[in-house]
Amino acid sequence: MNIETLPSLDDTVSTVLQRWPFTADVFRRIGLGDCIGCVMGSYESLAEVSATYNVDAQFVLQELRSAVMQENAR
Amino acid sequence: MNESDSLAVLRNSTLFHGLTAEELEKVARAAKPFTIEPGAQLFRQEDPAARIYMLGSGQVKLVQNTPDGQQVLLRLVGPGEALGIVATLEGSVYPATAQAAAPGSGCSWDGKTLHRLMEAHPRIALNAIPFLVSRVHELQDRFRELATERVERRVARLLLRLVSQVGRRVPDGVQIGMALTRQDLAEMTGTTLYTVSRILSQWEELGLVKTGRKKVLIRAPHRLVAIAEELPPARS
Repeated sequence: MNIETLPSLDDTVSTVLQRWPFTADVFRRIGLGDCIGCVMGSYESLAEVSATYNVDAQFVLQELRSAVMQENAR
Repeated sequence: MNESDSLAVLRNSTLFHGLTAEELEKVARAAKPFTIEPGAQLFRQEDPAARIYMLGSGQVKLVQNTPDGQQVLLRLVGPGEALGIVATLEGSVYPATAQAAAPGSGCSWDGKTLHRLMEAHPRIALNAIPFLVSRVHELQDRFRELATERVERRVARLLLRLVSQVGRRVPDGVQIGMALTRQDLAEMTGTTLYTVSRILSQWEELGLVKTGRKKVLIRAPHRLVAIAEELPPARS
């Protein structure tokens, strides 16, 4: 699996949601549901929103990546 | 601005989207180019609405004067957007004054010409519909905000609207990419300079925003959104 085809912590929330719309479910599940459709999503990276919401960034990344890998495997 | 500049303006506008190169050339030939300096006016409130203007570059404020002398900033217009379209098609007077906030250029048509163009190319009239619909929605939203929402929330929502239009990511936050005074913010939220200053000072102390000369930097995007949307605080 090429790492560039997976979300990274520097990606903005909007980038991730546009590229992998199905990750909306993940955002909701891990407590970042408010980020979906938020205007600031175009400016804030996954690392930043994780810090804001006090969610472990590595956990966020791992959840998003596994959702993307699962989807790619289908 | 010459005819080929006018053409570039038209190609990037929603009003003339979908027209063939030939049709665009016809529209450009009928256009009168203009340039405008900051502070100068394209038209004044209550003047007979004779022309519609399309901005190719720059930024124009639409300002309305109320009978009791208060100024209300209705909208900021940027490149590719048209001004005076409703009043001109209706043949009434301009409902607001259009004043340049930055050096700009573009082109204009008189009402008859635009009418003729719309008849010849219905695409233009169809393109105008979403524009008018979004204007109606914007007004409905603002009406609801004014009628029901706390001033603090209105200011937060305004900043977010501006971010979605002209936001720019900078190292310590999100910068609103246009000159913006506290007076502008007061006019756009239908409140007083005093109230806006009080709110911004408070937010500045809390580390939400940083304001400088005509500049607004949003340092805590989430907290501003939380105020605008009345979200519960982020879980900690």
